Amino acid sequence: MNGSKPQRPPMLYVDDSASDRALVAHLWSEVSDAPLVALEGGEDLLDYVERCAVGEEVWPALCLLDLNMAPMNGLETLDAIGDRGRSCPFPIVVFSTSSRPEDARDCMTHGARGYLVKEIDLKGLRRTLAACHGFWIDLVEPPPSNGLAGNEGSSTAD
Amino acid sequence: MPAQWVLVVDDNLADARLAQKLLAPSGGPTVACEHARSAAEAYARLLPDGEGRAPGDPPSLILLDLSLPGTGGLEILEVLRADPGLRSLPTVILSSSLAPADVEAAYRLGATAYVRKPANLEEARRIFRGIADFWLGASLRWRTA
Repeated sequence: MNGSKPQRPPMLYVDDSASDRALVAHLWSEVSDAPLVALEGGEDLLDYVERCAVGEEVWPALCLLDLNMAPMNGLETLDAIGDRGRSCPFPIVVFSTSSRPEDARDCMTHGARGYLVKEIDLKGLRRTLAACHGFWIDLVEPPPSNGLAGNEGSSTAD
Repeated sequence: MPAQWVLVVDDNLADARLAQKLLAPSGGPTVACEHARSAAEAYARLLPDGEGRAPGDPPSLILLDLSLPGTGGLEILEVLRADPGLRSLPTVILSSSLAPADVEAAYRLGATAYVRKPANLEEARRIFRGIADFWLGASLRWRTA
């Protein structure tokens, strides 16, 4: 039923490191046919969300958000999106080199849907990105109100 | 660190057994699952009892069916999200309904993600592998404690 989705919404990758953006973009193209949009920081993500809200951009299927960024870090970015007054219409998963459980808990309580440790080695990083594709791009139904749902009119079953 | 486990909330025994059998990250062993057939069984495993005693370590992931006898999945989700310890626990709706009203309501009440229930064994392998690779493989084990 994957073919029922009219278009593939992008995956956003937000990271202030140009080398990490380039590496993730390269590996993502190996594991996913969904387009990747790389953004340089939290401010760029807020701008992107504003453009989605007015229909200038397509809502993403997933956003991977770096935690340690300047001037606006990942937690501040999550808070800023939460402050828009409604829950975020797309999933944000924090993607950080920190493996501290406290960081994971903080991010989840600030609205992240998940927390991934950024692997250092290429094989691990590719496997992590493939897992993101396999769940968030391939399996997850987006909220109908963000205009991504590809199964309109399906009847209630179960 | 406590072992990872998954709570499967589904009144259909065959569906729950299939999840238990197939929830394994690529190249890894299957993950321990517990099965709750109703809201009462799910609450008993997740929420403090009447005397305030904690029920033990929370699961790494909850797979929640919407259509249950009595209290439905959406009501369960609402109760879990009202509990400070369970508010952020990854809770994936696994339902055969793709009715927009169901999907919308699940996200509004705080579902982590909404996934269509597999219709056959081939789909089940793909869906449970995808769930396991992200939540039980790539994702950092995350605790509410």
